[in-house]
Amino acid sequence: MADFPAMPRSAQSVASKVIGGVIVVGVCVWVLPTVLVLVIGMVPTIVAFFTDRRREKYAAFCVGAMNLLGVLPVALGMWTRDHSMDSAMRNVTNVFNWFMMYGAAAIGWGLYSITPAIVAFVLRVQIERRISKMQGYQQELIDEWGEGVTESAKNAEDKQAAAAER
Amino acid sequence: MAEADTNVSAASGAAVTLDGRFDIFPSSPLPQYDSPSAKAYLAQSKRDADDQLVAMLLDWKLPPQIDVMTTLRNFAPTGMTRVMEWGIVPWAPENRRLMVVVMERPGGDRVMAGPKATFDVFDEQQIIKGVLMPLIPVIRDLQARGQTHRNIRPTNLFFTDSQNHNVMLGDCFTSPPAFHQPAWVEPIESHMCDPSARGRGRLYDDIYSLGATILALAIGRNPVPDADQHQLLLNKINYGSYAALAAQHRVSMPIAELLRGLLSDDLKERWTIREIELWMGGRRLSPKQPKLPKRATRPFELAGREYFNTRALAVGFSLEWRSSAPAIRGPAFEMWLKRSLSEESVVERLTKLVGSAATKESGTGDGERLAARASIALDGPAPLRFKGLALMLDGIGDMVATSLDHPERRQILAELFQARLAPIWLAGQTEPKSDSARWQQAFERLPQFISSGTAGYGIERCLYELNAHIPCQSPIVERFYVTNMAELIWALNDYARNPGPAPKLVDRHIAAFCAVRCKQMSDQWLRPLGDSEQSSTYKIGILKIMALVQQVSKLEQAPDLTKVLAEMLQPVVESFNNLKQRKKMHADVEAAGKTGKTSELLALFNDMQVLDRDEKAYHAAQANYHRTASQISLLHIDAGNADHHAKEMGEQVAAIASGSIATLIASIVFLFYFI
Repeated sequence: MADFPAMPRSAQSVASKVIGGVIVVGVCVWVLPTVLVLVIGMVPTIVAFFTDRRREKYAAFCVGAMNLLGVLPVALGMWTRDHSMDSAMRNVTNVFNWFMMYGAAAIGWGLYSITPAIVAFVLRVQIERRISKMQGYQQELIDEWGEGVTESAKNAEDKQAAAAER
Repeated sequence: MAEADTNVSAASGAAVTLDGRFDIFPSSPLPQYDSPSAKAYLAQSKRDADDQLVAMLLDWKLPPQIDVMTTLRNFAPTGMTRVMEWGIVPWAPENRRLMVVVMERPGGDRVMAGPKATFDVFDEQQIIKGVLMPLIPVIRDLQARGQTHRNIRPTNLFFTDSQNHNVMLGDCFTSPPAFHQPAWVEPIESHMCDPSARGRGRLYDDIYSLGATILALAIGRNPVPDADQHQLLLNKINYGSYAALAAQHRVSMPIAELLRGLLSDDLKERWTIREIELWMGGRRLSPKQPKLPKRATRPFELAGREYFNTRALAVGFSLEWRSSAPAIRGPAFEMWLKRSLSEESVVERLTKLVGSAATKESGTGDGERLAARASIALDGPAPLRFKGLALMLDGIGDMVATSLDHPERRQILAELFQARLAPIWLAGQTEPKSDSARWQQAFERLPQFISSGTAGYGIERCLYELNAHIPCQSPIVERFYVTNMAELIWALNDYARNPGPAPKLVDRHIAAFCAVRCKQMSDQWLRPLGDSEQSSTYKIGILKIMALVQQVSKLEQAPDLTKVLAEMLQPVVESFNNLKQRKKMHADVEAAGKTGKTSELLALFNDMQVLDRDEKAYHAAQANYHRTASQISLLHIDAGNADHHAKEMGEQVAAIASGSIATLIASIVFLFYFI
């Protein structure tokens, strides 16, 4: 049997992308009602993804996780009862579903928006507690050694020398 | 000595009692018995009201002659006032305690009322029976007891009765030896001395004074009433004492013979008691010509005066001490000694004592020292002379005592001690002195005391080293006549009752007094007194001295003194940095201050390391405070950056929280749909 020449690496990549694309398209076609619900339901996540300028995309992740949670009951309802385009259209036109999907996304936004403030508050409380503890220690030193302990060692020596001169 | 009464203020006018045996009446002075240094008051024995007694109140600034008074206890001869008792009594008229000596009152008046008074002439028999017979046993007994009178003069003679037949000697213990003797009754060496530094002397000195006194008795007055002291001294040296004093007066031949013997300037020629007794017995000796110093063929000129012998020239050197050094260094002086005087022995002594000092001039004070050394070489038996002072070594203590109020004399004495002239003087003596080793030892220590300016040393230390019985001269306690540690504590406690705004419990006198009289006190106790009076070491040093003195005195309680010490130590307590310890120390010091025991106070300050440890801990606390302050500053900066950190962290937290919540709820939803 004659040996066929090996395919170049870029050709392999293109081939795998094509195969992958065919499979995805195939699956999409197969689960098209679900895709439709996801595309329409996950719009807030898409918007968050593009508006989040940070590399880590915390906003998109935060909104996306909650958004997906809002879409999940609709998708599951379709999978368990009627996975059709009609059912998909009914669900995406249902105001209650909109409210659930976008409400969940809004909760994600809300979470993303208020958590830094909460963290800042916690950090400040922690720092203030440490400062307070250290000031308490300083007060203990003053109570034990008097106000003179707040002077620098050099100042104290200067004062002693001046007193000795007097 | 009678036990001291420790009250100062007895009722004014009321009799004070000495030793429970004698009443002394401050309201009854007896001025006819006053001595120049002591006032006389009526005294009465409690046992025998017929006793005729007089109490002599001694000058507290002069060293009391305790040794003499001890010697005179049970003194048998009747030719001298007998000492009955002595001790310290409260003396209300002066509001102080004073040393008082109770003695027998002479039966008659004073023979010579004053230095220039005249009186009835004593004839030969009166002199033998009324003067020599009672006085010779006194001088003999004193010699047997190792003492001298040194106060034999016409103004210190009393008649024993109203018939004015016999005389008796007055006291010899109310002032330093020969302190009030007029120069004319003193032998040449003593005449040269400062009156305060004539020393206890020897029998020969009493014999000479007796001779001069007999001369005065024989002529009924002072033989040289208007004589210049210096000229009289030169006359004594150049012509002999007899010629200088008696030549111009007419006395009987036997008396003249007696006077020649008693007033001889050569100790070998001066009569002894044996020879006086032979004369009294009627044996007449051929009159001896006075032995005069060798006279030079031509005079030596010094400061416009001419001197013909070494002794007179030595007087000139001491008189002109400021300008005599060039004359001593010059060739004319040695040439005069060799050629005009032919005194090779003096030249040898001069070379030995003055040595190379004569050839070089190395610094300030050399001239004075050179004059002193030259004077010693020229006249060995003469007193030690330095910068105008002239003193016998055993009179140095008295001289220091009488010079305390004279800064210039104090300064000269300090220079004298530092010049270390005493060993040279002792080496220059032609006749060995029995106590020279003692004086040599004493004078070796004095320069060390003088060179230190710290309290406990200086001229005050010399005063107490040289005077074993002088009371403490400190202005704080002088009115209490303090002679030992118990009296010192008692006096300081009294002073502490009203000490004034800045009490100073240990001045230079008290420090020196304690250093000498308190055997347990070594130099280390005095060292803190060299520090500043404001320093803790100085104050604790004072406390240590007081605690030692109280311990030695065995006085259990000194409440006012302890209280003042406690107040004095408050600044030391304030120097504790640790407030808790300071508060505790305040309470402890206050409590100890009420115990009356200085040792209780000392127990709180005995560990000198406490203050050091406190200081170190304080510095550590300062460092901790500032380190903490730095950390607080950093935390404030962190607080300023909290929003930035919180935003970054908050986004992560939100993502994690969102993911976690979503995962959890999604799991529940899945379970709800599929189970």
